[in-house]
Amino acid sequence: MTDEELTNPISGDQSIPLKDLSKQEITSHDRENKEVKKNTFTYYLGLALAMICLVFFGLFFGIYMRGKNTPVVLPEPVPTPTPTVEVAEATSASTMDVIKRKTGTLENKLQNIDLNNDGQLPPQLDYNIQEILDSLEE
Amino acid sequence: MQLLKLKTLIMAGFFLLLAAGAVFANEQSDYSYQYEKYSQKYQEFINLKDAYLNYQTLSYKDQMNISLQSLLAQRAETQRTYFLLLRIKLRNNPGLTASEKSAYSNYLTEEIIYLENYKKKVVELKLPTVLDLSLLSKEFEAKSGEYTIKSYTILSYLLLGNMRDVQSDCVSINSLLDQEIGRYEGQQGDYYHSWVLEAKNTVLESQKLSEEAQTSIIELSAKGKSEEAQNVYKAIQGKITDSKLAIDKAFSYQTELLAKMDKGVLQ
Repeated sequence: MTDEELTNPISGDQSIPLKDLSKQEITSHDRENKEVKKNTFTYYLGLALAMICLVFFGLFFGIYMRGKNTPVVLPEPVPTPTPTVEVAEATSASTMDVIKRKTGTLENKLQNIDLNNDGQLPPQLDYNIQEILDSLEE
Repeated sequence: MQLLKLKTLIMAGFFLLLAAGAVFANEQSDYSYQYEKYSQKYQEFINLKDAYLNYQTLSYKDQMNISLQSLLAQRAETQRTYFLLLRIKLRNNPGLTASEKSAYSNYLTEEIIYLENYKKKVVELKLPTVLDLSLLSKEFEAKSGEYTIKSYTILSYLLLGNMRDVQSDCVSINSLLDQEIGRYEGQQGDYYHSWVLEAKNTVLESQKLSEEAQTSIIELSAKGKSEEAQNVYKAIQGKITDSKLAIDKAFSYQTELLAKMDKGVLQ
């Protein structure tokens, strides 16, 4: 091997010109930068998604726990057969309740009933404008 | 969960009521505002007319014409907002039948559209003369008699509807009381029954007065004269007021009977 070959093992056409090499390095730096940026973006996107998931999870969990803590409403016990007189009294009590509720509503209506049409009487629109115009035409 | 559902229902009901109230409040306040605006414009026109008659200048004549044009448009607008108010009152009335509501509601809708077009016609006139405006004014004033009669007819129906609503409630309470006193026998049963009978008779009296009022309304709408419309309306209002007094009496019988039944007394 000659001295020249030892110092410069790539010889002839196979050598990369200095100018091209620097260009290649710049492009590779760009690519690296882009890759880093892409990775940062993916990282933040993942983080945001994770946060959203966490919020939703918390929400659902909260709702679930709330539902679990709500006291269970037990079905009302099936009434055992009672003597006829008691049943009649119970029915009567409910009718009385309905009557009282209805009289309450009626009392309210009677107090607020509108028998005057206040503020809703026809407007006095001075239909004598025509007379004024006739006098002007003369 | 049931409590949550109940709360949601209450909230929804509350908002619905609020919305209905807001709609009605809008129609009422709109009408009041337009009416006030009309009064201002009328006064403005009268002042300009007087100024023109005093000075006979071309400038005053132009100003008067422009003021009159604006007044005619405002008159139509006031009438239109009044009909809008009547229509919403009619639709929300609890005691009127669907056919009564639709008959007058359709009439109001037709006139609302007519007034919209009329107003447009007035506003679009460029440099109107007294003659142009006079013709347009005649067109509106030809309808004034009909408008007066229809307005008082609808107002009377509104009173009648309000009355029918309370009468219907009273009848329903009477039938429930009938059902309730059926449990009592002998002297106590007879005593309670006599109270319900009094309540029923006074409701009938009230209904009879309302029917008389209705006959007057039909007469007013069919062959009424616009000059007499206000007086006929007052007479109808009087009958409805008497009808209300009878219902008040029936209601007092009902509440008194309820108090007696609660205490279980016989006197």
